[in-house]
Amino acid sequence: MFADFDKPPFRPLLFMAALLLAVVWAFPIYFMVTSAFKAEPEIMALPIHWWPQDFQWLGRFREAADFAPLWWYFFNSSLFAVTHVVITVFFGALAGFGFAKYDFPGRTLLFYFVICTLMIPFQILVVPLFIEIRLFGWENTYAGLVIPGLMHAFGVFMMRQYAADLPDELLEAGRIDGASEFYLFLRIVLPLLTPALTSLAIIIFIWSWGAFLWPLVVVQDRELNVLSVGLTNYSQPYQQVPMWGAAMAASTIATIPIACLFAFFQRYFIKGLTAAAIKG
Amino acid sequence: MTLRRLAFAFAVGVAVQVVVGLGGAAAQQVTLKVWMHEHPPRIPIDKAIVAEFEKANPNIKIQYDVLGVAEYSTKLLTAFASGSGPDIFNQTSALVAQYFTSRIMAPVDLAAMGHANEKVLQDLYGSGLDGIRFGGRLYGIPTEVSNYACYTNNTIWKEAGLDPMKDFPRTWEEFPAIAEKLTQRDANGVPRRRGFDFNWPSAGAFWNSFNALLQQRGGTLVDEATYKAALDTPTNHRTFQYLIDWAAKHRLGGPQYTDSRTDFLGGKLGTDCTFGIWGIPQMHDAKIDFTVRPAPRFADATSDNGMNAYAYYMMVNARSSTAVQKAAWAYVRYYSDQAERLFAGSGLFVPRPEVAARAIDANSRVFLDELKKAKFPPRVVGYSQVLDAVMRGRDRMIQGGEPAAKVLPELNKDIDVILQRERARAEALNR
Amino acid sequence: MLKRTRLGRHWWGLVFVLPVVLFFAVFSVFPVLFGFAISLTDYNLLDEPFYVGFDNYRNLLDDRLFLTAFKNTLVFVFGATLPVWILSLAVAVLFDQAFRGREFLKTLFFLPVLPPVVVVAVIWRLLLHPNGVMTWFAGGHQGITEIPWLANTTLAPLAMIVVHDWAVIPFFMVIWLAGLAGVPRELREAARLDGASSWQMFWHIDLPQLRATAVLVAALSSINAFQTFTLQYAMAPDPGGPANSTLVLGLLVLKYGFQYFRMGDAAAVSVVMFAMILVVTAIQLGFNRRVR
Repeated sequence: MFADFDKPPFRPLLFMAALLLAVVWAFPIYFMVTSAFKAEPEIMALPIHWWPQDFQWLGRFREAADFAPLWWYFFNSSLFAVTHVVITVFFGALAGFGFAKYDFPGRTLLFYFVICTLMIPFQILVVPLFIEIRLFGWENTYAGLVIPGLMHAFGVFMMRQYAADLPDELLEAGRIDGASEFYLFLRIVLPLLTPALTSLAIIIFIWSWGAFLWPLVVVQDRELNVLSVGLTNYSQPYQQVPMWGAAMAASTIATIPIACLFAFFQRYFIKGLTAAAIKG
Repeated sequence: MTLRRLAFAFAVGVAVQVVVGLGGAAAQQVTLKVWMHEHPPRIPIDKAIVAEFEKANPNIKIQYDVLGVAEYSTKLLTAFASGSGPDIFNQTSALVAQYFTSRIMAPVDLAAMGHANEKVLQDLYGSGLDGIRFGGRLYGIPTEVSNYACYTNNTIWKEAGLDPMKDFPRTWEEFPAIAEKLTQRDANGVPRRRGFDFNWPSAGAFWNSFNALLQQRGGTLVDEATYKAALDTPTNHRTFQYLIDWAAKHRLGGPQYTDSRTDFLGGKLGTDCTFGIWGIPQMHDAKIDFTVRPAPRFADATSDNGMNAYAYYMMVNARSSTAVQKAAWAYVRYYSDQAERLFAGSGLFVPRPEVAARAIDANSRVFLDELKKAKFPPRVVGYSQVLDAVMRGRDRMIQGGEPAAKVLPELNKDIDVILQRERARAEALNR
Repeated sequence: MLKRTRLGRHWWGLVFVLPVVLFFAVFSVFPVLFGFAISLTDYNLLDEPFYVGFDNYRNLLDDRLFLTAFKNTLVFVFGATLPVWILSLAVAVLFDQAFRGREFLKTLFFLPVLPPVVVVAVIWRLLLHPNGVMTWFAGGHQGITEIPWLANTTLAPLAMIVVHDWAVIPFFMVIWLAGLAGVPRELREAARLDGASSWQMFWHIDLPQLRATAVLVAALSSINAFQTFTLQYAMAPDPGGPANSTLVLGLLVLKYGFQYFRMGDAAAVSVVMFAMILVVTAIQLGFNRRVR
């Protein structure tokens, strides 16, 4: 777009338009973060307090942690997300590799089988899955919470695309050297796929971190719940006025991991999001 | 005073004797799984009772669990569904109808409890048993019977120049004017501090208020005998209109505001009528200077009832083994005999003579007098569906501005559909 | 090109794909079939399920809750697709231009994508408090002190749409930008040489090249909108909103299944949702084929 790589031109009209949009769009996020550091009455004060007049460092955070098991929520969400990421990425890559580089009977059928699951909305799974895991005795347990969503078909799909692009010669070379197929996967395929794996990991992390419906249904103990569901304890407490300060503090904590991923892995982040989109 | 103490000691003594006697008779080892909902002041007393009972009955072991209120009903359901339900559980009267239809509750076993006949229970609990009587049989014992009455925030009342004793409205018709004096509005007429409001958001509280109002004029939401919705009558329309006018016409409150209990405890509401006698300690904690008054009646009321009564019952799982059930009823007997202690320690009231004798101050007496006249709301299977339908219908009229003449017949039909489906299911299961 | 003589090696492929296949069989495909089965029964957890045929589906036709949820979902999907499609394209075109401060402002604009949906719902629930910040922005200078954003039967669904759109427009902007980046430079430069204006270039060059992206954005936004649940659950004071004005199908499944414990009805509603999504997916596949 630029004729040369100097600084881009200063175009005030476009800048103003973009500035207006950016400010309006970013405002609620800004409001969330500043409210997390305000005293409770100041949060709803009008005219709006753009910056906390009475800056409270950890007051709201402590409140949030006292009212509900905030750190358990964080731990459970982390456990949930990390497990999902690791399993989906590893087995997705494995299956993607299998579908891409091997020609076994039933390959097409099984591939379409996996891809079809992409079209299944979660709402149609929630009731039968609930009954199913109750039969396993997993209801209200870590197993019941984590296991049902452990693998995402999207991982298989994406990894297959990338694995298909891997040069066969490399694999053959490995085989001639006496490597087993699994060894090939671990030592040659996985390293080569690292950028794609990173993008996939990020997108799976974001999906899992925000998971709401399943934890809502399967978990009943407070200490077992995840951050996304636990957050509603502050905004919709049982027979009590909402604790907005604590809610904003907990919301900020819930946003930080994703914000960090975005800050450090911006390229992979964007790539992962668009890859998720272009799955048709 | 001493006589009362003697009576109490006697009651406890008898209970212990009976239980020990029973314990001696049934010598096999039995474990009882007991689930109760979370009410923090009651829990230490429960644990003491469990320990005493186990000591007196060495062959009975009790596994006592407390579950959070919000998830209690769900957990009960899923536990029953997977066959791992508790042997003894308590539950509120609004939700027991479904247990009856699904035959979860065992009928009261008078012999195992050590009572001579049902009259003994009737004398002890009076109308508190109404909520757990189905088809003429009793299915549980009350651990709490509550009714709502009105609490006034005396500070707010005096500020408005009103006397809670003399000026409290006798009729609903005169209430709007009085509430207006207690209401503080901003420049746009928006009530920033309400004088009185119904408890719109809190489902259970609304259910117990709204049904009571219908019953005052002789109407009802559901006719329990025919199991049909009975909302669509001119009298009920008028009663409903009163509620709508409160929010839409007089602008004294409405569903968009904070629920009345929370605001009352926060000192931001002049009057609230959705607390029971158990509210008294809460008022002390919140440092509210209060007076208890009976709820208003309609000027043309045919029934002199205040707000509804509700109860918590202790029930026995009909799917447990016979030996377990017998031991369970023995425990229920012992537990229910500790009523006075439970009232003293956790404010949970049952209309037993020894407990009633303790509630002697003026405020508590209002509750007792009202309780004698209080009715239970209609018991329906599918309670949460019916309640949801009522609340959404109410929203359509208040927040959506639709006329009552249109909404109420539709609401009536919706409720009927729910009731008929539940009845059809019960019939399909041959009940 | 080495000829593969050892077919035995290829069985490894089967081994590699087996874990995911088994997993989906147990936790995706079987539950869907099981869900169909449940939708043909009347099951309330306390009693044994019994077969009722298609009664649950027939009852939906008279069911006020279902019809309300169906209507609300369609309204929401409409509000979450068309405005999003247009606005995200417009914003993408803006951010496609070169100007100083573009990257920084684009990042700021992108922030709403970061928090999980629940956080978005909770923030907006606070902002849309009847006596809160948005009321002040909207009417503060006129002295209006209370606007029932989430308590009024017309405003509440509107609020849901606006919040949802706010949260997703930056995401779709990124997709449009990816599409715009794929427009070949030569076409643009040739048109510029011919003296075409910016608008003409957009209309005659960018848009046709963006057809595939356009279909993608439309399909993604609509499929996502059909399944909306968390926003409605966490933002409205009472799931379903005033007079059920924000009750959507996703929420109805939860209500029937886990509030009323009518599992058969919940399953039936979810099957209807599934069918609607399949229809949209089929339409998208059809469009895709035509574009290619």
